[in-house]
Parts: sequence; C-alpha cells; structure tokens
Amino acid sequence: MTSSRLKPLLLMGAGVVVFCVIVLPYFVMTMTALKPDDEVYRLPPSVVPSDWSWGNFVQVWSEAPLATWLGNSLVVTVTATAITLLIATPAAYHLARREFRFKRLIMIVLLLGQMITPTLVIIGLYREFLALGLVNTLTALIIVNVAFHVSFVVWIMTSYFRSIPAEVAEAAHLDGCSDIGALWRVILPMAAPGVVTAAVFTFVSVWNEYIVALLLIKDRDLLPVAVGITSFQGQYTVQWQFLFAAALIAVLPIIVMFSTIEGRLVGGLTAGATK
Amino acid sequence: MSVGTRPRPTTRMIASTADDRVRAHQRAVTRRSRRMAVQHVLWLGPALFAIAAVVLYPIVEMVRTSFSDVSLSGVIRGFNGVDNYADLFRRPEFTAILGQTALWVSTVVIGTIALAWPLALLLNAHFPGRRAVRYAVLIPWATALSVSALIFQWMFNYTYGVVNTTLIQLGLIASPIDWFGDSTSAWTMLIILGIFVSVPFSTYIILGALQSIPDELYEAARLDGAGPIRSWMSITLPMARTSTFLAVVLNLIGVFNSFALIWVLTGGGPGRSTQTTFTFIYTLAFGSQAMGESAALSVVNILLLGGVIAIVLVSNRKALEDLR
Repeated sequence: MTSSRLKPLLLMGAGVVVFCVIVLPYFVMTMTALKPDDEVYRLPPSVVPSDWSWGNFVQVWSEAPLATWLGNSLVVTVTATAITLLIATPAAYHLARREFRFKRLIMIVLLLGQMITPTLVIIGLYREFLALGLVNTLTALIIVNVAFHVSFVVWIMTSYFRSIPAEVAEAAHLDGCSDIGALWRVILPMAAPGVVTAAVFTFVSVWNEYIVALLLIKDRDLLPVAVGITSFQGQYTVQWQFLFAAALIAVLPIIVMFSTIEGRLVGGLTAGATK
Repeated sequence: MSVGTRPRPTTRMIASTADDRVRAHQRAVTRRSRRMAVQHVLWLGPALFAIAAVVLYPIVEMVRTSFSDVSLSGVIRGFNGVDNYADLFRRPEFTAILGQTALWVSTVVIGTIALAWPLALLLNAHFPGRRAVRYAVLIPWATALSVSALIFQWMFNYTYGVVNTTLIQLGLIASPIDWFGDSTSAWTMLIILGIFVSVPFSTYIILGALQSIPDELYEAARLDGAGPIRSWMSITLPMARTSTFLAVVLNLIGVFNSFALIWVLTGGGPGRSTQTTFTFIYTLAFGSQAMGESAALSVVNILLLGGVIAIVLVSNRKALEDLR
C-alpha cells in the first residue's frame, strides 16, 4: 500500500533530477546571455543576473553579422528541405507501390546513403566541389544537404506510404487521377504526419549542420549561423554574453519546431527502421 | 478457274503468323518495359542521382586521391602507389590517434546506452511532470552540437566557469582545475559532453519500443507472480532488444563521425591528445596541407567504420532479422 503511494513521488523526484541536469547548461547559457559585461566576469559568479541586460539581444546584432548568418541558414535550410522532399517523395511512393527487379539494390543504396555522413567523405566532397567551382557558395551547401538527407526521407516516407491501403490510390485512378495526381491530391494529405516529421527532421539537421559549412565556406559573410557563432571564438576576447545571445536567437526556432512534433518523434524515428 | 485457288495454309505460313504474333507480343512487352523503365527513372531518378553524385562519388574521389601524388595546391600529379598510406602509418601520432578514437567511441556509446535505458523507463512511467521532462530531453538533441560545445567550453572555463567555481565553493578542490590543460581532464569533459548530447536520441528510440509493449503482458506477468525485476528481464528487455540494437548502431556511426563537438570544445588539444581520426583528417588536409594522407586516412576510416558495423551486425543476427 505504502509502496503504491510512494512510487509516483520517487519517479517525480527522479524526473526533477533529470530535468535539472539536462536544462542546467542551457540555463547557464540563457543567464549568461542576460548579464552585463562586468557581471559575466565577476567572482563568485551570480546564478541569475543582478541586472537583466535584455539589451544584449539588441546589441549582438551590431557585434556580429548575425542577420546575415541567420539569412544564410534560412536560405540553405528552407531550399534544401524543400528540394529534398520534392525528390524524395515520388521515389518513396514508387518504392512503396511497385515491385521491380532492382528494387532490392535501390533499397541497399538508400541504406548506404543513410550510413554515410558528410564527415565520413568530407575530403572527397571538398575536392568534388572545388573541381565544380562551387566552394564558397550557398548552392554547394544546398546540394550537399539535399543529397545527404534524401535517403533518410525516402526511407521514412516509404513506410508511411506502405501504411496507406492500395485501394485508396486505385479509387483515385478510377476517378481519373494520374499517378502524380493521386499522389498529390489523395495520398499526400493522408501521409501528412509523415511529411511533417520528415520535413522537421531535415530542417533541424540542416540548420545545425557544421562540418560541410566549415569546410566549403571561406567567406565569413556566407556562413550559416551554426558555424558563424563559433567564429566569435577566434575574435579577440570572447564576449560570452553576446555569443550566447546569438546562440539563443539561433536555437529558438529549432526548439519550437521540435516541440510541435514531440508526440510524433517516438513513432516517426523508428518507423523507417523497424517496420 | 475453280474455287480452290486460295492456297491452303502451309505449315510454314502457320509458323510465320505464330512468329509474328510472338514478335508483336515481344514488341509490346519491350514497349511496356521501356515505358516502365522511363517511369522508374522519372520517379526514382532525381533521388538516386543526388545520392550517386554527392554521397557515393566522393568516396571514389577519395580513393583516387589516396593513391595519388597531390601538390600543395591540391592538384593530382600522378599515381604514387601506397606512399600516402605508408606516410600516414609512419606518423608517430597515428597509433595514439587510433587509440583515442577507440576510447572516444567506446566510452560515449556505452555511457549513452547505459543512461538512455533508465531514462526511457522513467519517461515511459506515469508521474506528474512527465511532459516537462520529455520536453527537456529534446533540448540537447535540437540544439546545434557546436552550440552545446560552446556552452561546455564556458562552463569549464578556468576562472569563471560554473564547474570550477562550484567545486571550490563546495570545498572539493582548493584551486581551479585547468580542464583544457591535460589530456585526462580534457577527455573527461569531452566524454561528458558526448554522452550528454547522445542520450536524448537513444532514449527516444528505446522509448518508442517501450510504448509499443501492451500493458496486458505486464498484467499477465504480475498475475503469474513476477516482480518488477523479473518482468523487466523477461518482457521489457526482449521486446526492446531490436530498438536497443538500433540505438547502438546509430550511436556508433554518430559518435565515430563526431567532429563539431571535439573541434569546438578542445580543438583536438592539448597538443594532439584529444584528436580523433576525423579531426586529424581535417588537420592533415588544412593544417599540414597533406591532402593525399588525409584522403588515405579517410579511406582507412570508412573501412574501420564498415568493419565495426559488420561485426556488430553479424554478432546480432537475431536483432538484424527483426529489423527487416
């Protein structure tokens, strides 16, 4: 009897500990971002700012080309996510619907595509884009990010399409829809949760991408924000409050996106792999 | 003229009409399969082309570069056999870096799975505030690795970092620890960061499996007199086996490939003591201008990762079959 009353309390205690440990670094970041310059370097350090400097968020725009970096990230991420969905969705639909000879081989290529990361082939990528004359362009970042997310999106979307009965597409055909028409008007709306999950994952992953941008972009004004903020480090002394204010601005949209699909994260992740 | 002038069909003619029919059928089949082939290309072509040109081709380019004499400006001057590999293996720091990579991957993967399991169990249980904890777990996952690494760099700052100042206030240390100053403390810091950012994803994968276990199973086990440990051993663990395996494989790939964490937090230092093969690839190519050796190390890396994954897959045949 006592154990059944004690259990939720123990679990809650564990929950509180986990919550604090996970949030601590981001709490430190937020508090530092809100401290005035002299308080950042004061001993012993204060937990919360004694003087809340919301102005840091305004001043950081003039301390670094933050608007430019955010713009670069936005262009690369939105374009890459859109193109990835545009070429991965038909491929996934075709793989889910048709049986043909080289299907197995294609599935293996897709699996390989998921296992190979940009980091693994970074030297080859660099040489390829150098030869193409695309080093130091946002186009290069878009192309690389599309290619490295296509297989993941095809994989996830295929399993969503498989879960839609074939009769649905047949009914659409009877009503005079072409393959594309059936996919666009009937199937995609039904697979909307899958599309959203795939889009959010791709968006977040492209937004946070680091090594490709570090390698392919030389011009500080062409950097995406994930790499841009680390270039605060090289500059004279690091002004941590500005660095973290910039980082917070860059992280916020991603966290908002992720929490909108929190419920679907659990199923969405394993859908491609275990079904 | 009598009526019978219409020639009787000979066997030869019968054969030829049959041939025609077969040929016509074959033509139709070819036409259809050609149309089918066009369909395949239209639907699959762009996706496969992107993967072939940007994911697979760089491997070819890397292998080619690794067997070539590359000038400082990056131009290939010709085939030079295994010279790049020989130079790479002869480097005094090479074995140390392989060892450091093994240390990094094994500690972070083991630590991650060891923490992700209890965390997944916790998030699967019902308690007030569970939603808040679930949201919190998303933060390290959604945040750019470079940002998390920057936060750790500040937290472990010698003078102002929250870690040193707290340890001093608690009286655990007399003077600040120079976390970035020696290899043991630098590794400690890196491994904590590595586990910290890897746990959320693994937790969610295992949580996915836990949520799919029907409550009736536990109910039945309870009626049979099984305690919580017994039912974990004989229900939870076997049911979440495939997902755990998946988490291990994905973590192996992710941690082995991590670059941003190390590059931003320690830059591979002090000295070369926290370099792994990937940061060393970067250092070789852009620090030492040794593109050929860098490509050789990249090829070695692919073989290493492929080998490790093959071993894990083969040793877990059962889990692999479940994945299909």
